[in-house]
Amino acid sequence: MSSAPYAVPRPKAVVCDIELLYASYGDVVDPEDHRKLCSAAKCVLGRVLEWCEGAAEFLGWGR
Amino acid sequence: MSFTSTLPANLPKYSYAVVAVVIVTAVDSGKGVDVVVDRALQLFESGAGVEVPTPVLPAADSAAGAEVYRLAPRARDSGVGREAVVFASRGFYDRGLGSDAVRYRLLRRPERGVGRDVVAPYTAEVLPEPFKPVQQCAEALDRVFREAGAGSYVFAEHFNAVHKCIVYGISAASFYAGRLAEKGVFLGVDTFEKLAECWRAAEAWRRLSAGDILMPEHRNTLIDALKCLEDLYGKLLAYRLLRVSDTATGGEAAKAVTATEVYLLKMDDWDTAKQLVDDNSIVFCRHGIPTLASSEVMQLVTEKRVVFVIEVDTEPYYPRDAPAWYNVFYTVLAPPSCGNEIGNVTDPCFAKWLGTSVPALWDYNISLEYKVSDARNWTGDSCGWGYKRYARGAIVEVPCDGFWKSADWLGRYVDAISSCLLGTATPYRIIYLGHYTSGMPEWHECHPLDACWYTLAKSRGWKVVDLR
Repeated sequence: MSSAPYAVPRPKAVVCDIELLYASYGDVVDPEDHRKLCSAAKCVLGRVLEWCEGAAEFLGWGR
Repeated sequence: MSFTSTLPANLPKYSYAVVAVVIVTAVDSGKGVDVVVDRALQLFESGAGVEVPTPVLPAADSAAGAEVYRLAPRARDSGVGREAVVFASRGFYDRGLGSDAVRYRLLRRPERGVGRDVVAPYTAEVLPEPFKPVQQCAEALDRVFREAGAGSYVFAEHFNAVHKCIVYGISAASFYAGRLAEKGVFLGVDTFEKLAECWRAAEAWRRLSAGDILMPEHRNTLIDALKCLEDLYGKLLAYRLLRVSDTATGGEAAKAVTATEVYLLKMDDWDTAKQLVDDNSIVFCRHGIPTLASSEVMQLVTEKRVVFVIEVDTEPYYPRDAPAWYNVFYTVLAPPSCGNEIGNVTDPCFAKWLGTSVPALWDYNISLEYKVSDARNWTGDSCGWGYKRYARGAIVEVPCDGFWKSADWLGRYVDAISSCLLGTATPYRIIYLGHYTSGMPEWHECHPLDACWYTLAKSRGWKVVDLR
């Protein structure tokens, strides 16, 4: 089977508006990709934490 | 009624201990508790592959105002492992809504496993400062961010740090979701399913050590878990901690200032409406939504806690005009309908909210012979307005003009429908497929319904989103 005559878009996920490219065999680890992953993780964590704080307040455990 | 339907079919099987805790809110005692426990046992036997012996009953949990039944695992399953909690809200259960009330939460992930990251789970001991690990994680991410700059290297620990943070995030969400659910806050079964999915995604990680070969799966697992956590956040936010069940105490209900959303859509914009329909939603619509099929109505009321409110007016209800309700609420509609009547409310629940009679104005009823056989009237006349419950949702008729005679009446109807057919104090979403607005003929004697929604929403602190 011949390969596609056009570039196949790499699969990606968008987290907190940050585009995260899935890795494939043969990829070189790009520090910038990992920084993006960190940024996305921090963003999501911040949101979850904010929700948890709201939950804690609701439960009467407000800080 | 089946509890298993509330749990994901692919609930993973665990070789380590599973402890089921069934909490039955102590609304009253006796009836039904055994059934709940039995079902929980079956659930864990079939769903999680764990054999559970006779429950040890009861261990009091007075703080939660609940009776707690702890089900011990068999000795061969001993070991530190995941703790799963199933609980049923008694109030829901007794109203025949047990499947909606059963939640489960997974509090603990394995503390030790071959090749797995070792992350301390959230436990009671962590309280009252459960935020600190997440905050520390966020700081660790800052450090990774600095270290993994352009021209530098990415180390194994940089990946592990992201994973640890994701686990803490899921853990914190699990912890609070569980606590909220215990309090009767409606978070939605889909939220807990997503939570389980996130745990599975996070557990696919294999801890990296210095010198390990980095595989694509390492990065991809983290992306999957992170995406899942974001989706979970979306679900948690959607329920906003504010879906209060009838089992909530007055204080809890008072704290839970509702943030019900009212969506005003064009009359036939079902495509948008179906994206908005979720558990605890009420959809106000006319009999005719051309793009809505009865099979879709059936599926929605079977799978979601949604009430369709059909506004019945003087028009003929031929099958071609009312495809959405064919065989779901009406068999085949045929004119003439019964004519306008003043409704005498006979259904006790509706009477509680509406009073003994409701304004019908010039709205027409549909004869009982055209309704599905098991539809129930909530007014007492032979052609009265009716409703029918399905597995999770319901369909109800209301007098087209009368129900929005004023914002006060509109509010009463929303309260009646929420309380009687959804079983919650307030709906999560109201979706109004609009038709009565400014400039309508004068025989629609009330002020515009969209204005009514704005007035009602303002008085209750609800949010109105006009998408017309």
